[in-house]
Amino acid sequence: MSTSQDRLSRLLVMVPWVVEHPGVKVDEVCKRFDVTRQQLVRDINLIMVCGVAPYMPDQLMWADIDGDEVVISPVDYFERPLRLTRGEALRVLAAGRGALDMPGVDSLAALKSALEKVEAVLDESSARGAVDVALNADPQRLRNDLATAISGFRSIEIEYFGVASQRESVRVVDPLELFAHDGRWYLYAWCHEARDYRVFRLDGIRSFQVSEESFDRSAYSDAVRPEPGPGDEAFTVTLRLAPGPMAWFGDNFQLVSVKPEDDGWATVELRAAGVPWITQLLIRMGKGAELVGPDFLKEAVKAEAERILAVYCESAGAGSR
Amino acid sequence: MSRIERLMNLTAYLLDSRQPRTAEEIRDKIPGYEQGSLDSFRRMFERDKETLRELEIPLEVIKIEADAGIVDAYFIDEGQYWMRDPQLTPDEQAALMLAIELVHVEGALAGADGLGLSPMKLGLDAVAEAKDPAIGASVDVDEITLEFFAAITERREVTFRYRTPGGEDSVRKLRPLSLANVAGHWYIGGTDLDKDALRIYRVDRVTSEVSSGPAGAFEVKSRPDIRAQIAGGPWTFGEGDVEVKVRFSPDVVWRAKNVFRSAGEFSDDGDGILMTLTVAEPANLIESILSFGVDAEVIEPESLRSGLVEHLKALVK
Repeated sequence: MSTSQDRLSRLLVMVPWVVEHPGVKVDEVCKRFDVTRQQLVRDINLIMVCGVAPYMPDQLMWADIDGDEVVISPVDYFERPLRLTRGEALRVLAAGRGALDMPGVDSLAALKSALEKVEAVLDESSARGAVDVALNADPQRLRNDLATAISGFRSIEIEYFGVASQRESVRVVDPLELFAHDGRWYLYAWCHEARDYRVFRLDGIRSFQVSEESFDRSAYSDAVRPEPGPGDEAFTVTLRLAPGPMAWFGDNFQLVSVKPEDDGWATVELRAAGVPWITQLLIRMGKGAELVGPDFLKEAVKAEAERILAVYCESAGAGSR
Repeated sequence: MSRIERLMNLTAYLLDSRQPRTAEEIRDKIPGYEQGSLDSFRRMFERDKETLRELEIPLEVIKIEADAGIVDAYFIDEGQYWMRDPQLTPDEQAALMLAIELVHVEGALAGADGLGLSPMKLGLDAVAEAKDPAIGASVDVDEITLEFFAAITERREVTFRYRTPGGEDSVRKLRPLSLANVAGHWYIGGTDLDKDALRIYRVDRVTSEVSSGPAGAFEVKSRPDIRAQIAGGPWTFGEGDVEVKVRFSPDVVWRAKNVFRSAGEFSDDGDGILMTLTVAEPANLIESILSFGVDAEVIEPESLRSGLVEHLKALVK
């Protein structure tokens, strides 16, 4: 944005604001409008020479800095500030909606009513309820605590639910980097158990404890963070997917290949992180996914389905009505 | 005569005028325009009009009859120009101020590094409560998201190319109704005009520019709840109120809470942790419940129990 654009947009807000706050302190105007005293003086001098022909008294602006205080006389045409630009409006609504989900915001009712009032004045009712930002509150807290451990070079012990193994384990890791990928947060760390670098999903961390010991960050200077992926033990699985599950798969997994078929189904290849992971996935998909190969998974899926079925048969017997 | 002075005077003149003004009248009235040739006035005026429009000052043009025939006349619609006072209470001001400081909205928005002019436009005089420095969030906004937002507020139909997860690329026509950021992605929801049904599209899968139709093209009756459909899980689709009870092994409850969030109520029933959840379509829960393997069991309703058993039996044939 050019300087005159910046200045014009500032003045169109500053004039009515100072009029509304007669005798406001120079420092406060400078702070709120992010200008130096020198810039403010230039703005005031400019306002003095602006107005509407034929420059009748009620159409002329008058402004002054009197010692510490700023005064601008009211004029009808700049009675109200220029409305929020669409970028500003989106920003305010997105921040407000997002903050509703965050820890540390105590006055939720006040924030909600504030947002409703802002929406109401934006553009009749066209903005009402139109914008939403969902921020996952819990990983947010975790994220900040982990960031502190990373910057303090503190080892941490995590209780972690592994995606590939579908089970929990306790590990000591040296946290190196926190990053978001496709809307999900991850921790990149040196894992003492694996004696290797590992990527952990934040939503898989059940709990963690920061150790008193700090680690030597320079030992990991060669670390290159990979993109999150299925890992070293991954293998390729071929599936036929019904149209609904297909869309869901595409949203959630990196597919190696997709071959659409005439009936709306598709044959896809994907990298499976581990047998427990792909077994569980196939159980969830039910008839929406057909396993093409490898064959050994068929037994694993069947066995797991039988185990879960047993839960239902047992309890039906025990609790028979 | 500085350019900024000319711009201020032009804005003031058009806001002050009770009627549209021709270029000739404007040249006459605004100091800085009358010097120089007619050509140089036209160039200056074109540039100035563009600047005002870039600032989203609603500078309108209509045709009027003047001595010289039919000519363009310019005006600024006060109703569109002025920020209406939302009349926030001090509590509301403080809460909104804190929100703006907590959540950094970044990307395509100009001046996103500071708070910008929004607090003064909104009349946020109160000072925000002290915020926890360990908490913060950022949300990225790109140009296309901003386009969709403008289309929603101005009620314009939009046309764009969209790539499905399966790789199919096609043109979509949408009455845009809501915009949501869920798990880091922006989604646009609205009525798909070809399918005549509500649809939700991920903004980062839009593969073309967004072209918008005329403003005020439709009325807004209700808006799709994108968060509930994307983040809330498929069980929220549809209408209805069915109470579902699922028992979890204590060890997986923390994961269940991550999946079902605040929708589920958890209590200890002696045999495990019981979750009570009200859903529209219980069958849509099957997939999520099965992700807990033998550590989750549907207790009620019977229809969901039998549906889940059917789902599993198909796998053991």
